[in-house]
Amino acid sequence: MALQLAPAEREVVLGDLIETRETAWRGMQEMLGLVARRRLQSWNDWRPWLAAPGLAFPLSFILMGFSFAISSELRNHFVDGWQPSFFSTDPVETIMLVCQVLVLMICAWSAGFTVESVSRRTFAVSVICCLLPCLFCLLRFRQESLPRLCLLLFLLPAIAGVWFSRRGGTINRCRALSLALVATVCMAVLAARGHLWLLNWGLLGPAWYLAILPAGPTRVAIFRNDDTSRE
Amino acid sequence: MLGEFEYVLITAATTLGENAYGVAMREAIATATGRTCSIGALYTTLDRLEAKGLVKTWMGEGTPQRGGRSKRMVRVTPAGTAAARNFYVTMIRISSRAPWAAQRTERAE
Repeated sequence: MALQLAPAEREVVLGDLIETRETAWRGMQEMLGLVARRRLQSWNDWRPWLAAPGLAFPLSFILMGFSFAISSELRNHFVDGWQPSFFSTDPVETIMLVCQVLVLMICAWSAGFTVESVSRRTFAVSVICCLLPCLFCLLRFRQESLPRLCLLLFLLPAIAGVWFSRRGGTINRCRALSLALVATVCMAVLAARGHLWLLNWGLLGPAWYLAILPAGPTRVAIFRNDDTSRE
Repeated sequence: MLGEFEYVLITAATTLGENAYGVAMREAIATATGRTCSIGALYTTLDRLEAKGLVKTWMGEGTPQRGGRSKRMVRVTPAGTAAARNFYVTMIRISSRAPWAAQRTERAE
């Protein structure tokens, strides 16, 4: 239980419990109370609200839609088992598929990276907010020609984004801007061909968030979820 | 204006002076109010007061009674003293015509 607290606070609280010779049960209650208060305190900020219900929950639905669309397209391209038919189909359709894949990869990666870096302390809640829509859609999936797990294609780049952020990775403004531009162009191409649902534009939010963040130490502090250097 | 518990904490820290730290403050509060103060309430409120600039805290030295673990020492800042004084004066002023305040004055006489 004490491991849930910051090292300095853990030291102080354990010292207090030893000094007052609290019983194990009472000590556990005190510790649990402090940990619960600290967890709740995290939600006084806007960042957990943006990360969990603001990004993870809605973007999961949209990215699942993209995953499904890509899986359906791939099924059309891979005819007669695993022989690709890219050159026998309409090249425009192939371009559409490439655009969809790029949008899925860039947007899912940016979403994973943003959700993790915006609120590291409440990341578990963000994960739940991402997995609940997945579970809901998996249970209602009725497409016999595709496996259910095709809905979760987006999880691979999203997990890569989370992993990158967890390792303390940062993305400079130029690269972030390039990714956002590529995703936007691909999205525009898809929209021009009528392959796009209006809400899908929301997927560009995290990519553009990363692109417009100011450069320099502030940017690194935001990525590392470092409250003290942000203030 | 301060909250009730914030006032209690600042007063306890001021009264304890150089010896103001978690355990001592909890004991002082329990003695004065007759209610126990949880560790969670104490430290989260101290954080809030520190963020407002009303107290300053730092890590003190460990003692054998604490298994060598550090204390979180507390000192009330001038702003904290002013806020507590303001709270006290306001309470006295607003209570002056309250029946319970009158009874207390009569008993004192």
